Parts: sequence; structure tokens; C-alpha cells
Amino acid sequence: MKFIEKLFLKDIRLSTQIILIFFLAIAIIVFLIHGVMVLFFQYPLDYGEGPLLNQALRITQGEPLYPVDIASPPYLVSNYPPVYVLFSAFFVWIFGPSLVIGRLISFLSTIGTAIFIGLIVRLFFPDRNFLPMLSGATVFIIIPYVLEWSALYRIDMLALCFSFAGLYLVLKDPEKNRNIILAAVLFILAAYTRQSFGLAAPLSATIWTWTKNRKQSLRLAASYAVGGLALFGILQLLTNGGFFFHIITANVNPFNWDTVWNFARDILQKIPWLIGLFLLYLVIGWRTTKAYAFLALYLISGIAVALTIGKVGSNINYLVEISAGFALLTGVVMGWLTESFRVPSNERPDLVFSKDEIPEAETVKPGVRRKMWLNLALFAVLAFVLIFQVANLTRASLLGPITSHRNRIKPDKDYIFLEENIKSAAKEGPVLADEFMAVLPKNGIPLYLQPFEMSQLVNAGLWDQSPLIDSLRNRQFPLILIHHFQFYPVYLERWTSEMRLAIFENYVATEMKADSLFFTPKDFENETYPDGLSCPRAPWQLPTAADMGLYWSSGQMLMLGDGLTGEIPVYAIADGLGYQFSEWKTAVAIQHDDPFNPGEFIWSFYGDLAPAYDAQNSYIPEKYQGAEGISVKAGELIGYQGRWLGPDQQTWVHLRFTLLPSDVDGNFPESLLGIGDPFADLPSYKEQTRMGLNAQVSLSRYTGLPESAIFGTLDFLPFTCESGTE
Amino acid sequence: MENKKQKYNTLLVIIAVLLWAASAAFAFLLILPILDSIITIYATFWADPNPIGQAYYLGASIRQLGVLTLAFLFVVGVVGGAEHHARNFNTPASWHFMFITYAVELSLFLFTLFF
Repeated sequence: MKFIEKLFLKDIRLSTQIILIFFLAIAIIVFLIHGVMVLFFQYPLDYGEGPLLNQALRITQGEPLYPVDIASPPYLVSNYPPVYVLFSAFFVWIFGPSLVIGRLISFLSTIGTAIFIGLIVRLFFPDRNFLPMLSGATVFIIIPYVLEWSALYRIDMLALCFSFAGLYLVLKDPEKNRNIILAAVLFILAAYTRQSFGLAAPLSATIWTWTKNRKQSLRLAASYAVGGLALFGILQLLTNGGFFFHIITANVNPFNWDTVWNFARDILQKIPWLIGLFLLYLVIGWRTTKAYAFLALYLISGIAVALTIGKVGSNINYLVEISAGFALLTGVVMGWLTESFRVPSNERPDLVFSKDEIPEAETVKPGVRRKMWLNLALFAVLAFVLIFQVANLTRASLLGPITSHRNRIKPDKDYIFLEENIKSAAKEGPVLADEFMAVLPKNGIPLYLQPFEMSQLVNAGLWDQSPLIDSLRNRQFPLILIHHFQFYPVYLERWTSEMRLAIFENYVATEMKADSLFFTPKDFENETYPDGLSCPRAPWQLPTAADMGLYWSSGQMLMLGDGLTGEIPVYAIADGLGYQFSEWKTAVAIQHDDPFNPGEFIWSFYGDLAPAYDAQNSYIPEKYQGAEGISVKAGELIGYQGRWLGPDQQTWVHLRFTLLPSDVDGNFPESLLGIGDPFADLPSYKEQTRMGLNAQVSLSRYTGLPESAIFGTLDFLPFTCESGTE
Repeated sequence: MENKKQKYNTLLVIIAVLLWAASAAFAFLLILPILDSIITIYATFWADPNPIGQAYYLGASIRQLGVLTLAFLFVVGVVGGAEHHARNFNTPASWHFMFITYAVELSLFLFTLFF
């Protein structure tokens, strides 16, 4: 073998390693920056943080974690076993309530799990360098599901860390009784941190041990089962049966297979290469790696557990366990393909040569040469597959959870406003909240209601919500925060229709900050509210309900309704002639006689009546599509609120509504035809006046809707009737 | 025989010079795309649409400092590389250094493709 061949054999491998390490390093840096960014943010990033911080606070205050009585307030459910909560309660007891505590536990647990993944890979490939370990550990932390969850005040990462610590002990030396018992304890801790972690790791560890030593396998299974059941019995006794109700009964939510398919598609899109490796491994892994006996089973049982993501209200935390499985698989395959065909050390050519002198050619057996090139080719192919996968995962994390957390963190001043409002309202009575409920326990204020969990209990017929509905009707709550995600109406799952109705009848959204609506009790003495769809003294009715508030957008009104896209009806505000101009797909306009100026005309405009991104399937009835002056009666249905906001954007379910002047002939002004596009650059009122148009037509005067003097930016307005309308 | 060795040496010199020149050109062309990628990642974490916001100015500063740093590294790499190859011509150290240079440049090129 000549120097040139040796150089290529050695340095192609080295170069591939450099490129792989470079991308793994980027992934680690991205993971760490995201972690620090989240750890230093002191407001909630997820609904689930609130209940857990509240539970920790309750423990420090001597309150029961699993109360049997949920018929009287506070209406709380503890969905998870107590280990994580006890951990964080200890720190809450020392430092006071703070989101940082639980987030730090999760972040360190994620790093701990990554280390255990590396150590497990090392167990199977002790003679390899650090690259298989590093690959497995890094793939784990950069999978977007893991990265997003890595620093949240949630239980999952601690449970996973316990689970992997147990796996490591069993795999390291299943013959040692100490390892078996300690592993059983760690598996119990994992299961008592989160129920679903009680399956994949213990099962695969038991089966793997069975292949080594059946007695030890039985010992592991028995220790785990006896310990777990004994603890269950103790907790049941201590809580008078509350434990079972909270972690099992209250957790049985409706199942939706669509959610499962959506996540399956998402996984396939994010980790196609790892899925490919997984399938390949299932088929040929048993012949090539010792890890197969536990890893294949771990992956299959992990997938079975991940399927429960179809439960209503579930999130990507159902995918962290299977993500760890895929990461482990990466490390194992990397270890295996680092040297697929073994070459005896005495037959290897000497690849360590002097820096200054070209070495002499060396005689090498043809079989050895072939094996070395094959090893290099397989390693290079796998390394590049991994480079592409890691780079894509890093990109997916940057564009997904990191962007989403950045957007959540950005409006920091809104959070100060939100927190101050909660603190001041809490002095007057209980505050209800959903997404930002963690702000309450963070300030030492106990939760009164977990809306999502209790709504699920109502749906399952396990809780009578009437006392809460009565309290809502009596306006006992000075402030109710309902989070209104722009891209999906999650609040519909969090608040029952009865709760929402009671809220809309007795409270009004007065502000929206960080996408959360601030509902305060209606002041019937000093304010006027729409009665159905009409404001007193206004000549025309309102076009649609806007229980979720109004957004004033430079003369136009986004009326946010309560419901799904295509569900909330939009009506004609008065008699007139309906038109849909050729430029429009998602909007209609109606020409009305002006009740205040007889002989003149006014146009009402109804826009965005279509699903997101889909103008072809608008919610406008067929008769109005392309209409050229058909007769319309007041209160006639002309469409439904949609999420449409142009071909490339979507937003809350809404109607875009305004009143417009007519041109001198009573026709729709040509200069305003662009209004069909939500982002059209329309002429200002001054320009309209110069064009001979009547300029601003008062929404308050004709319909009673409130108006704002602010232009150029969105201004939130409550769904009230403007006082002083004629 | 001597003539053949001379030709072989000349060929090696040409290959070494071409490889070094190509790596230098490639490195020069990578400077701006690398900065673009770094700014893209920075923006993912700290984007702020406000043109007079702190995030914007920090982004602009990163780019300016980045140009300076990468330009400096480029000059060091090109001049240092040339010196190293000249001193260690046709030794394992020289060819190994060439491999490392291309591995680093390929890493950076892939980085600019992905981000």
C-alpha cells in the first residue's frame, strides 16, 4: 500500500469526522443558547407550567396534592404522579415560587439523558472513539420535540432521565444485584414522575436481561412491579383514593386519530433519515449489534407509548421518549458502521507515519485493503446521512420551537402589564387564567381553576360545572384571561361552551396582551353592550358576534368571534344590493340607502370570509359569488367568519368589516376596490376627500360599534356599543 | 530517470499550487455566505423588526465584526498555508494540512447551504 492510499484512507475519515463534529457542535450551541434564553425568561411558555408550579406551591403550604373533593373550589386536577412536583416543591420551599426552578430541573435532566445515551452507546462500543457517543447524545438534544421541551417547567425530561439512568445500570452489568435493584428504583421514579414512562425502558431492560440471566431478569421485573404497586397502594391510602382519580380517571381524555397522523407526518418530515435507519435496523440489526435485544423493543414500545399523543390536549412531550430511542439508535448504528468489517490489528497497514518523510510502500493483503475501503465508504455514507439529518434537525429547531419561543418572549412589556393586572385583580377576588396561569402561583397566588382539565372532566361527565357557571354569572372573578392563539383556537378545548357563554354574557374583553384576552366584569350601569347583534339607538344591526373582542385596523374592524373557522355566521347589516366585484374572492359588499342622508348611498364591506390560505372555498353562499346588485335583506346570512388573511397568512377567526362611502354616482369607489386584499394600500381619508369621496363613514353612528383614533397599528377595542350614538 | 523524477516533482508542485489557490479562492468566496448564515441564526433567536431596535444594531455589529474576523482569518490562512506548504512540500504534513483545509472549507460551505 502506497503513501497516497494510506493518506486517503486516513484523511478522508478524519475530514468526514471534522465535518460531522462541526455540525454536532453547532447543534449543541443552538441547544444551549435556547436553554439559556428560556431559563432567563420569567413568564410562562406553556399552559402546563402553571398547574405544576401551583402543585409545588400547594405542597409547601401543606395543601393536598390529590384532593378527593373537586366539587368545591379550587377546581384543580393533578394529572401526574408526585416525584417532579416534590422535587420542585423542595426548591420552592427554599427559594420561593419561580419558574426557573422547574425549568432548570428539566434542562439538567435533558443534559443528563443525553449523557446517559452517550454512556449506553459506549457500553456497546468500548473500543470506538467518542464520535458514536457524541452523535447519539447530540441527535437527542437537537430533535425539535426535545429541544422545545428541554427547559420547560414540565415533568417529562426528569422522567426520561430516571428512565435512562435505570437502563444504563441494567445494560452496564445485569449480573450485579445492586444494579438491578437500583435500576428498579429508577424505573419506579420515572413511572412516578410520569405514568407513561413506566413501560418502554423497564420492559426492554427486563427482556435484555432475560437474554443474559433469566434470574436477574425476574428479579428486576419483580422489584419493579412490587415496588411500584406498593407505592401505588400507599399513595391511594394516603389520598383516600384521590391518587387514582387524578392520575388515571382524570387523564382519560377523548382520542383523535387525526392528531396521531398529523404528528406521524411531522416526524417523517423531520427525521426521515432516522426513520430509514430504524427500519433498516429492525430488519438486519439482530445480526450485527448486541444492542438489538433491548433497543428494538425500546423503540417499538416507545412508538406504542407515543401513539397516545392522540389524546385531546396532548403535546409533543409524548414524543420525547421515542426521540431518545432514535438518538440511541443513531449512536449504536454509528458505532457499528465506524468499522463494519473487522481487520485484525496485526494485518492493518501502518497509518501512523512521520510528518516529514513519505513512508515506503507496504505489502497488505487484498482482503484487508478491500475491507478498509469498504469500512471507510460505509462510515462516510453514514456520516453524511447524519450530517444532513443533524443540520436539518438544527434548522427545524431554529425555525420551529426557537422561533416560537422567541416570538413568545419578545413582547416582554406585555408580560409586565399582564402580571401587574393579575396581581391587582387578585386582591379583589380569584383570577381565572389558562395559558398564563403560572403567573398566579409565581406570585404566591393559588390557582382557583385549571380550565382545560376541568373542561375535560365535564366532557367525560365526571364533574358538575354548575357551581363554577353560577360564580361566572355572579361576576365573582375580577379578571379572566383567555389565551387566543392566532393559528388555532385552543381556548375551545380549555373552556366548555357553557363556561364561555357565561363569560361572554357577563364579562367583556377589554384588552389583549401577548395574545391573551383580558375579560373583566361587564359594567351594565355605565356601559352599553350589544343585545344579540344590535346596539340600542343604532339604525343598523351588527354584522356578526365578536365575543373575543375587536381589533381596529386603520378604519376597518376585525371582529373576532367565538368558534371555529366557517362556524360563526355573518349577516347583512341592513337592506341593500349585494355585490362581489371581480377582484374579490373572499369578500362581498352591500350598497345601502344612507339613513341619515336620504338619496345618498353607503357601502358595507365584509371581508376575509374564507378558510386560511384557501380563497377557492370561501364561506360566501353561491348566490353572492359574483353578485351584481342582488337584493339583500337585513339579517340575511352572507357568509361565515374565516381565518383568511391573504394567500400567505392566516389569523384569528374573524370578519373584516367596515363602512365605505360611495362615489358621486352611488357606486363602489374604484380607488377602494383593493380593499378585498387585507394588506392593500388604500388611500387615506385625506386622499379620499381629495378624490371627492365622503371619506370616513362612522361605524359608531350606523352600527354602534366603537371606534379608535389610532391609525397605522392595530388597536384592541371591547365589544361594546359606543355611547352617544344617534 | 532523473528527468522522470523532475517531471514528477513539477507535477506535484503544480497540483499543490492549484489546490492551495483553489482553497484560497473558495475561502474568500465563503466569507459573505458565512456571515449571512450567522446573521440568520442570530435573527432566529433575537429578531426584531424594529430598524432602530437593539437587536438590529447588535446584528449589524456582529456582521461588521464578523467581516473583520473572517478577513483576518482568511489572510492568516492563505499566507500561513502557503508558507506551510512551501516549507513542507510533498511531506505527509503538507498533504495532511491540505486535507484538513478542504474539510474545514467543506464544513463551512455546507453550513452556508443549510442555514
